[in-house]
Amino acid sequence: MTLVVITLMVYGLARSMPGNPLTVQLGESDPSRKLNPEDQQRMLEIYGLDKPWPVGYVQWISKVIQGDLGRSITRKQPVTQLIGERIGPTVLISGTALFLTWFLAIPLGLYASARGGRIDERFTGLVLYALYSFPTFVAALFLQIIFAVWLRDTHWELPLFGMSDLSSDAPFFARCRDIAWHAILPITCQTYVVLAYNSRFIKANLEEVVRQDFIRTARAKGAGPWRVLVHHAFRNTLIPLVTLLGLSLPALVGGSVIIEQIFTWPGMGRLFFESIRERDYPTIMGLTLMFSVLTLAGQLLADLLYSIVDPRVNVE
Amino acid sequence: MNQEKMRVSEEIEAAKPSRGFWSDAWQRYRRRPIGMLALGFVLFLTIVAIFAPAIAGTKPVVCSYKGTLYFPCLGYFNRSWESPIFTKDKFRGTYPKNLKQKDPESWAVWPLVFQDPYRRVRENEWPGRRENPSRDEGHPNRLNLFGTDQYGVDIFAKMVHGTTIALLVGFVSMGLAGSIGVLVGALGGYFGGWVDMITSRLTEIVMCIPTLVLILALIAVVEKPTIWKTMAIIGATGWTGIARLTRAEFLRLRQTEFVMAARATGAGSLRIMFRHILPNALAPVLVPITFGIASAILVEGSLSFLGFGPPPPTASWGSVLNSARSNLQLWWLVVFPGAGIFLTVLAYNLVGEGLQEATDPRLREAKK
Amino acid sequence: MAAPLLEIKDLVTVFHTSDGRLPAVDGVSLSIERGQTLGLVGESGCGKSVTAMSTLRLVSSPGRIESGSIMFTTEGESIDLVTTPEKQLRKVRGGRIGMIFQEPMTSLNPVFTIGNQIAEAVQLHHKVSRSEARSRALEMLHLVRLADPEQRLDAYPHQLSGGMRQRVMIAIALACEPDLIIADEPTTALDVTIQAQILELLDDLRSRLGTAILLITHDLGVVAETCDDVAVMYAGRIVEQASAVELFSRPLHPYTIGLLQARPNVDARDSGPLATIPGMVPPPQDFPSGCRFHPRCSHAREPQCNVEPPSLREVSPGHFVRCHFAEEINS
Repeated sequence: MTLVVITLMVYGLARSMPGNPLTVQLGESDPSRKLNPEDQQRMLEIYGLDKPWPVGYVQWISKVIQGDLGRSITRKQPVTQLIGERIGPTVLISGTALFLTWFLAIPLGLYASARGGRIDERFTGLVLYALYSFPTFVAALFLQIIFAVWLRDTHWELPLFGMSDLSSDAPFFARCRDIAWHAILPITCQTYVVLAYNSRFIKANLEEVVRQDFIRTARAKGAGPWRVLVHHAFRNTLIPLVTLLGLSLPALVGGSVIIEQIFTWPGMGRLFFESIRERDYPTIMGLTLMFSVLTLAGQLLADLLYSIVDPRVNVE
Repeated sequence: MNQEKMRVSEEIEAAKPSRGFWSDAWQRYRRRPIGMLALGFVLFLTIVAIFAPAIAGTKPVVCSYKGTLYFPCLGYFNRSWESPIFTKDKFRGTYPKNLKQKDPESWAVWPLVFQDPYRRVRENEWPGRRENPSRDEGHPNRLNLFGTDQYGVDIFAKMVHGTTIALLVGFVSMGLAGSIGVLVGALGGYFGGWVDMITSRLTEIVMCIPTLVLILALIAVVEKPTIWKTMAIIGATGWTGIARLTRAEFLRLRQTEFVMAARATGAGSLRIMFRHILPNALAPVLVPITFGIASAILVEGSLSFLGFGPPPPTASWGSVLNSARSNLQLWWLVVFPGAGIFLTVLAYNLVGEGLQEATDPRLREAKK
Repeated sequence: MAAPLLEIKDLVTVFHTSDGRLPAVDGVSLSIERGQTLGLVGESGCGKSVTAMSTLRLVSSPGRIESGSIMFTTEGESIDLVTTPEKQLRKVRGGRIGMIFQEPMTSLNPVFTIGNQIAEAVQLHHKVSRSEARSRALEMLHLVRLADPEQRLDAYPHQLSGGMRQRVMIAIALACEPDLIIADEPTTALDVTIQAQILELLDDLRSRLGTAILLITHDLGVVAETCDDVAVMYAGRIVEQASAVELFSRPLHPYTIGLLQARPNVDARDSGPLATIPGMVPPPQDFPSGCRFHPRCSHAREPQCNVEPPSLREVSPGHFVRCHFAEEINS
């Protein structure tokens, strides 16, 4: 139900945007290639643009239910194909970032909680806090300056743009390495903010859990400090942590739009950006649908994981 | 005799004034040096934002021209506040020479730094000064403290005036978001039932759409994005967290005794909500609002950076970063605005966190 | 004579807060023999819980044990629990001294099963297999008379009532057959009927297993029923100590007398208003000078009582009192 409302809203918004794909295209291309009025009308008809937007919406929805997301106006490909092409790169960046975040945040959080109050923990805590406040695009620019401009022609240079400089018939490993090399900067930018936030969250939560009575019981049983932290306390922290995981998916999506734009990474975020600029409605709708589905899926995942991790909650 | 002693000491105990909630919170906030530092920085920024035209600009702060006092620098805030007499007399924005030329008796108090955030300062505009360098020669120098961008416009002036924009964005958008959020949350939390269902669904829906997506879409819809429309959009999309929190607070406070007492005296719902519950619910809500200011500044920065922000010549920090994208060798285009956004966001985050610690009742219990 | 099982000598535990150094336990000495039950009585805030926590160094920050010794003698060896290294202490915790806390509702980890938590108590101290630990856990549940023990093994704490959870806590405390159990107000958070059951259980276990018990409570009735010896605590100090029989028949300290008088008497009709001790227990930041009880004491005499702190004196064999005028008051 929520999906319907979301897509309705976005479609309405998109259609209300001034101009339509044709005007944008026409504005950009040279006058000699202008379409004559009949062709224009025909194009409008094909895409349902000549009818008012509620009708257009119904048309779109009925196609979606049949699994057809329509054709992109500007790129002349089926939307599903477009998304399919771009989803891989996005997952590469966002997926790796997600994995890295969780993989690193947990030990960081545990470490911070165990060494709470001492000099090394306070220092890392401060650094993490600063990182959390550091805007991604500024970081991206900084990294670009350092790695692509200052370190130019050195061994450490990292490429600025795009996903790969090699053509598709280059050897597999070389291509892999090239892609990986290109991916380092974007992944770093995606990861560090969420990492900082999550590890702080884990630390704060652990500190709260450790104040609970059952921790005292565990210590009275003779459990050592490490066991208390990792076995007793952390297991309880997992509960809010898991909800955080589910809720972090939308943020990742939003972040990828900016990052992909900065690094000209051919992913879904960039596609979305471009399709808004080009007023490519089918693509916009298709992507929005995807994003919303992802968000809802994330919430569902969070709920599910929550009921698994907390024995007090019943699975519905 | 001991009984008397007991009674006296009890009376003395009772006579000690109890500190109010806010002064209590302030005491607690003061104890954290970093929180105070951040607050100081925020105040500093506010001062810079308010006095921006007096700090950097090409228009006099105050001048006496043909016998009357004028404040031309206010023109930076609003075109119409710059007195029309200067257009009539064909000043064309160049004050130093024209003032002296057109009225030898005139005097003026100049801003601290003679630079303009919107245009390049020309040769000899200020007597004896060369024009602003541009591109690679535009690195920080004595006249251009933060360097100039590729067109020769001074970065320091842009930063100073950008402060006004940044803070405005923060306060206006959060003011809007706060109002919407508190209203939605209060209605849902207080009335419950179908009102709650509607408001909760609404909150959920807006929360579900990835914010950036929504903002981009809204910006594209609006035909001419000005800074005010951007602020409105950020405000219109950032209220969900506040709404959720307000709703929880209202739900909780609705059951308390003082609300029932207010009801018993015949107070109407609206009155109860705003006079009784809201002041108590306010404290926890201020926290996400503070964080929201930081986030709003970030969002505006990213929007300008992506090119979606208000069109030039508005001087926002993000737009400077935007021009940095194609001019990576001009490192000062990145360092100064980057540091500006970073420090501002950091400061607000720290203030928000300090506020949270100072007002959280649970943390208070633990520290006893 | 053999050394007592537990001997606390001049224990001082302080809390460093923004109000200064607060001595919650200010020179407390106690001893418990094997198989004996000692009741530590006092009102809320007198420092009895902190004493219990100090025994196993479980005092939470900003509290610290400042001075004193706690000698624990078992299997011919004596160690000082205050100074022994952490590793050694962990062997004692749960292994040789078990502890039961006041709030059964929150003292169990909500994400692990009952069986798991009892088995952990065993596995922390003995190298046994999982199934062995599990069967031991089952044994313990039988011992504490929990209904449906087989099913309860795999139950989670939130599925049990308060009384049942407290039984589980006792099972955990007893899992390694400790020499001593410290029970910090084990029944305060429970209904009266459940209270009686738990106390009966504790008493029964004591006679069967020979475990010594340090019972901390504010309820004199509980003490009268179950304890061999009693120590009364006030404002961080022991003010009277004697065998239970002796204390109830011949209380000497004005505070103890006041406590005993303050109990409502079901039998007496028309006995007039309830007797109370005027005033309140002073918080550590406002401890009175001299005898800490003097502001509330009807027998207090200046200048001695408000200047000179009395010491704990043996007034008759085995009966200690901290009062300048104990003999006079009671003659």
